Amino acid sequence: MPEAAEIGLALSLRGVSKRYPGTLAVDNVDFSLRSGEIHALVGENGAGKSTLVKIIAGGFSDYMGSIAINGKEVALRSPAAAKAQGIELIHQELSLALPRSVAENVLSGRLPVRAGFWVDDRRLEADARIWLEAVGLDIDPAGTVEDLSRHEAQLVEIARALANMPCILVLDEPTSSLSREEADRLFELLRRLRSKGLAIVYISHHLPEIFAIADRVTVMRDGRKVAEENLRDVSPERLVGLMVGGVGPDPGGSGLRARVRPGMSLSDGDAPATDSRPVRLEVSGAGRKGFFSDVSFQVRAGEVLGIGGLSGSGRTELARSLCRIDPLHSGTVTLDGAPVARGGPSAAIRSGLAYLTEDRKGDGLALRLTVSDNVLAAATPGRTQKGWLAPRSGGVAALLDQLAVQPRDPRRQAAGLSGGNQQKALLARWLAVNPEVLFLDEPTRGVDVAAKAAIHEAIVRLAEAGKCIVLVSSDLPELVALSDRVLVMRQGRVAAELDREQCSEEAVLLAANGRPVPAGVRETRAGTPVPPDMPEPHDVPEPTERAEPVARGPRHEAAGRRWLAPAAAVVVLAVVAMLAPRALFSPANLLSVVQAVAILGVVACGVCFTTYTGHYADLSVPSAMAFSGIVTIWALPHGLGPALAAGLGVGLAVGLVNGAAIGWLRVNPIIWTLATGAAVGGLIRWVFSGEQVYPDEALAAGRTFLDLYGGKVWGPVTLAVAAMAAAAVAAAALLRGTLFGFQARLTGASYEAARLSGAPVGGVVAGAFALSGLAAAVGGILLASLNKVGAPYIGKGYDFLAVTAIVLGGMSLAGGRGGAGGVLGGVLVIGLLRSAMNLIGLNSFLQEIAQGMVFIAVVGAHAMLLRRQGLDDA
Amino acid sequence: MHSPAWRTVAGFAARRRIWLLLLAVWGVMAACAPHFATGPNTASILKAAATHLPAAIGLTLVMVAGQLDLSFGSAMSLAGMVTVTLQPKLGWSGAMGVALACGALLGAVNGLLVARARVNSFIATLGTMTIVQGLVNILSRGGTLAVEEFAAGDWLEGPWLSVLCPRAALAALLVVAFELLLQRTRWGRNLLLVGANATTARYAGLNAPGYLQAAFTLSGLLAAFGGALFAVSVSSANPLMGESSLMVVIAAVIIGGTSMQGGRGSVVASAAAVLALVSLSSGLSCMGARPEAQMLASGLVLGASVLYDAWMARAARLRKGSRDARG
Repeated sequence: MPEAAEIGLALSLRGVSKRYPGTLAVDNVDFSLRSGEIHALVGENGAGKSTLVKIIAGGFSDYMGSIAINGKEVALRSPAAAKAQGIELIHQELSLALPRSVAENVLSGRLPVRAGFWVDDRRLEADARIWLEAVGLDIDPAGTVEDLSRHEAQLVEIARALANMPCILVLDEPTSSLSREEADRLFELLRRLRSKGLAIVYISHHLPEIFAIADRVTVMRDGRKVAEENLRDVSPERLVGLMVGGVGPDPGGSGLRARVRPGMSLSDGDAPATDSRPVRLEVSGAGRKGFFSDVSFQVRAGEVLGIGGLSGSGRTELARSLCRIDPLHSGTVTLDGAPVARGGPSAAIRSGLAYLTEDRKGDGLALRLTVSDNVLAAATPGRTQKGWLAPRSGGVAALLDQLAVQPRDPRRQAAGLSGGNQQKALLARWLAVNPEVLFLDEPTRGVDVAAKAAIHEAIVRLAEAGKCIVLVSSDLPELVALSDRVLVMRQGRVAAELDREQCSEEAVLLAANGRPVPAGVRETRAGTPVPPDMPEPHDVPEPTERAEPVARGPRHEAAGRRWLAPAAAVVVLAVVAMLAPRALFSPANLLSVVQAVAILGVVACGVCFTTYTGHYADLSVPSAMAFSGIVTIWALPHGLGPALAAGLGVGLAVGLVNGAAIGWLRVNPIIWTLATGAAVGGLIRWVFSGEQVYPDEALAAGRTFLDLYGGKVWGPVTLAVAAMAAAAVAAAALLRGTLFGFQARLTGASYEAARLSGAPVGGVVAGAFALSGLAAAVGGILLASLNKVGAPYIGKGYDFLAVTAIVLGGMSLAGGRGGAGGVLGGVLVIGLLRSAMNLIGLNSFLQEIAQGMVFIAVVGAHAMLLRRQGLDDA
Repeated sequence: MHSPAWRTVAGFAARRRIWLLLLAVWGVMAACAPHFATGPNTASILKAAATHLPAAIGLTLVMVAGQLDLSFGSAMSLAGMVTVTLQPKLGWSGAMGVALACGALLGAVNGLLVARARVNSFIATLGTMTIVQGLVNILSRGGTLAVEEFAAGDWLEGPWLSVLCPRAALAALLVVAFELLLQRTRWGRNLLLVGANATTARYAGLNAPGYLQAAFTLSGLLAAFGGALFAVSVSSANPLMGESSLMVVIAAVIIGGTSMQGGRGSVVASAAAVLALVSLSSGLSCMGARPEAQMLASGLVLGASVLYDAWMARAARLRKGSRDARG
C-alpha cells in the first residue's frame, strides 16, 4: 500500500463548491484527511455530505475549488481520475453485476490473465478469496452475486473497493444493512486498514458508531462545514448541536414532541386499558414465507401503531403484504370486521388500505408525469363516471396547499420537485384517496426539516379524524413521538409490543436486538442521543441522503422536450415543401395523400397504445393485418357482416394473445410480438396452403367489400379516411378522457408506481395490445379491399411505418407521453414525404431508404438532445 | 412444495434445456421422420445451420451486452448482394472483402446510435434495417442475382469430412472461437459485465460505450460474413435471404438462454439452438410438412421458450417480492 504518511495530508480540499441549478449543495468547503485516520463526516439530511464525497470520488466534472492529494494538486473530474489517485467510494446503494460471479465483481475491470489473453479463473478466484476473507466473507467466489443476501452483497462491494488497494477509502453508510456482529467485523477491518496507513472517510448517522471508530469528525450543515473536531474533545450533545444548528438537540429534526392522544388518558398506570376506541384493523397470524410469520395486531380508530425493528426484520414486507402488494401466505386481515379483499393493491385500496412506499423514486412517483397525475394516481378510479374521467376538480391544489408543496403547480413534472416536496406529493396521493388505514413506510426518509414537520402534521390530523395509521420507521424519535403503541419486529416475528408507558427509543432498540426490555424504562427525551456505550443496532437504515434534485427550471422545458420530435417533423416537412414541386400542396394531391395514409393512420392509432404503456411497439401487426384481411375475404360467402366480424375477431384474438403474455406474464414485448407475428404468418400460410384468396365479385358482399377502401361516405371523404378519423378520435378520447387512458399513462411512465397506486397494470397492458390488434384488423381489412386480394404478405412494413409515425408524432418511446393528435400528424408527415418523393420521381426503394433516414435522424436527434440535458428517455 | 429430487431435476433441465431440446428434436425426428437420420439430410441440416450461425454469434454478443440488433438480417442480404454484384469485377475474395466492410460499417453505425447517441437499440436497428433493406432492393431490383462461377461454391458446399462441408466447418470454427472470446478472454468477460450492469462496468473503469460499439460492429461483420459466404456457395443472392434468417436467429439466441437483460449468454448454446431449430424444420419437411409449418413451429418454440422464462421470472418475483427484483 502506498506510503503517504510522510506528507501528512492524504487529501485536502480547499474552497470546494458544487452548484446544482438553483442551489449550492456544497458551499466553499475545506476538508482535510490524514493518512492513517478515520475521519467521520456527519450532518443532517441535505447537509451536503453525499455531494461532497461524490466530488471526492470524481462524480462531478464541474466542481469548483482545489483538491490536493499528498500535497499535489489534482483534478478529480471523472470516476476514473479519482480511481487513478487511489480513491475508492463504497456506495450506499449496491452497484454489483448480479448475473456475474462474485470473483468477477470483486476484481471487475482487472481480471487476471494468462499469456496476456486468457482469463485465469483459478487465480481470479484465489485473488478474490483473499479480499473476501479480508472482509470476513466465506462464500464461493465462483457463485453469482444474485444468489447472495443483501449484507453479503454489501461486503462484496467493500471487498471490491479494497481489491483496488486504495489509499483513500470513502464509506457512505456502510453498516445500513449489516447486523451488529457483521458491523463489528467491519470496524475491526477498518481499524486494521487504518493501522496500515489508509485514510478513511466515514459517513454515518449513528453517533455511537462514530465515537467507537472515528478519530476526527467534520460536521456539515446546509452545504457548509461548521466544525472539525477531534472526537476526544467533543461530546455527543455538542456534536448534535453542531449538526442541527440553532434548533436544539433534536437529530430527528422535526422538533416534534409526543402528541396528546384523544380518547385515552395519559395519567400513570391506566394507559391502554381505558382505551375505549373501537378496534378497526385486525391482523391475525399473518405470514409470508421467508419474510415474516405469525404476526397479529389490532389498530383502533384514531390510533398510530408504530412498527420498529432492524432492516430485514420484515417490517416493510409485512406492510406490503398486508396491502396486497406482495403475497400473503397465511393469516387474515379484517377492517371493521370485514375481510380485506385479495387481488392486488387495487383490491386493498378499495377495501380502505393504502401503502405509502419507502422507495419514492422506485415504485412511488411516476417522475416523468405531472404532480397532478401523481397525486390523482390512486384516487382517479373513484372519480370516474362509467370509465370516463370526471372534469378536474380543485382537489389537487387544495392538497398541495394543505401539505405546502412548493412550487404549488399541479402541472409541473414530478421530477422537477425537490425530494421533500416529492415525498409530500406522494403523501397527497393517499390523502386524496382518504383511506381508512394508511401504512406509512419511512414517510420522512431523506426529507428536509420543514417537509418532515408538514408530513407529521398530516399524520396526526389523519389519526384525529379516526383513521388507523401504521407507521413503519427507523427514525426512532419519530417512531416514539408519533406512535400510541410500537410493535417491534425481529427476524420476521413480533419481538415486543410496547405501550405508551414502556415505549422509548431505548426500549425499541433493545427489543429489536432481541434483548429483554426492562420493566419501567422511562421514555428518554425525544432526541437525546444514545451514549456511545449503549447497545446500538447497526442495521437500522438511516435516511438516505441524496443530492436533492432541484427544480429544473420552468415547466415549459419539459414541454419543449416533448415537442421536439413533432418540431423535427415540421422541419422535415418544410424541407420537403421547399424541394417538392408545387403540385404537392394542391388540394387534389393533399386529398390523395390523406387517402394513401388512411390505413397507416388506423394502424398507428392502435399501435400507439402499446408505445404509450411503455412497450415500444407491436411487431405482430403485419401478420395480424394479413390474417384479418384473408379471413374476411374467405368468409365473404357468409355475408359481409359475419365476414367483417370474423376478420376483426382474428385481429383482436392476436392482440389478446399478445396482451395476455405481455401484460400478465411480463414477457419482452419485442421478442414476443416477433414470435406471434411469425406464428400467425405461418398459420395463415398453413391454413390457406400459401394461396391468395380473392373476393368473389359475383356476390353482393364481395362487391361491397371491394368498395370498402375507396367508397365515398360524404363528399370526397372515403370510408378509409373516415376510419382513420374515427380511429384518431377514438384514440384521443381513450387516452385523454378515460380511466383506461389515465392508467395507461401511469403504467407507461412507471409500471410499479402504477401497480402500487391500484392500477390493474396487467389488464391495462393487455388492453393496449388488444387495441393494437383490433386496429391492425381494421387496417388489414381495408388493405385487402384496396389490393383486392387476401395474402399472407400484405401488411408487411406497417409495423415500422407505425413506429415512425408514432415517433414523429412526439410520443415518448419510454411511455406515458404523447397523444393521438401527434400520431395522426406523424402519419400525415409520412404521407407528404412519400407524395413529395413520388412527385420528384424517386423509386420506391429509394423512398424506403429516405424514410429510414428520416426516422433515424429524428430518434437520433431526440436522444442526443435528451442526453445533453442529462435525461435519458428510453 | 416440490421434493428436492424434483427440484434438482428441474434445475438441471433449466440449465441444460437447449441440449435436452436438441436431443429431443433429434430423437423424435429420427424415430418419426423418414430419411431424417441419413447422411445427406444431416449434411443439409449442417449447411442450413451454417447460414444462420455467424449472425447468431453476432446477435449473442449484442444481447449479452444488454442490447438488441434487428438489422443483422438485412446485413446478410446486403453482403450477399454486394458479393454477387462485385464478383465479376473483383473476384470472390475481393467482393467478399467489400461485403464484410459494408457489414462492419452498418454495425458501426448501429453502435454509434446506441452507444454514443443512446438511441434505444430496438428502435435504432429497426431504422437501419429499413435503410439497408432499401439498399438491397436497389442492388437486386427486386429479384435474385446470379453469377456463372461455381468453383468456389462447389468447394464450400462439397463433402469434406463425411457430412461436414467446408462452409459448415468454418461456421463451427467461428462458434468455438467466439465462445472462447466471450467466456475465456478479458474482453469477453468485460463485455458480459457491461451487459450485466453498466454502472458497475463504469466504476470498474471500463469504457462501456466502446464495448457496445465493438459488439454491434462484430454483429454486423459476422452477419455479413454469413450472408456473403452463403452467396458464394450458391453463386447467387436473394434480397429476402436475411429476412428468412431473422426469425430463426433471434429465436435461437433466446432459446439458447441468452438473457434479454444482458450479462448472461453463450455462443455455443445459441449454436445448439440454431441446430435444434434447423433440425426441427428439416424433420418436419421430411414428414411432408410445407415450409409454412416450419415457420409456425419456430414461432411456437420461441413463444414457448419466452413464456417459460417469464414463468420462472414470475415465480422468482413471487418468492422474492417485486422490490428485491430490482436488486
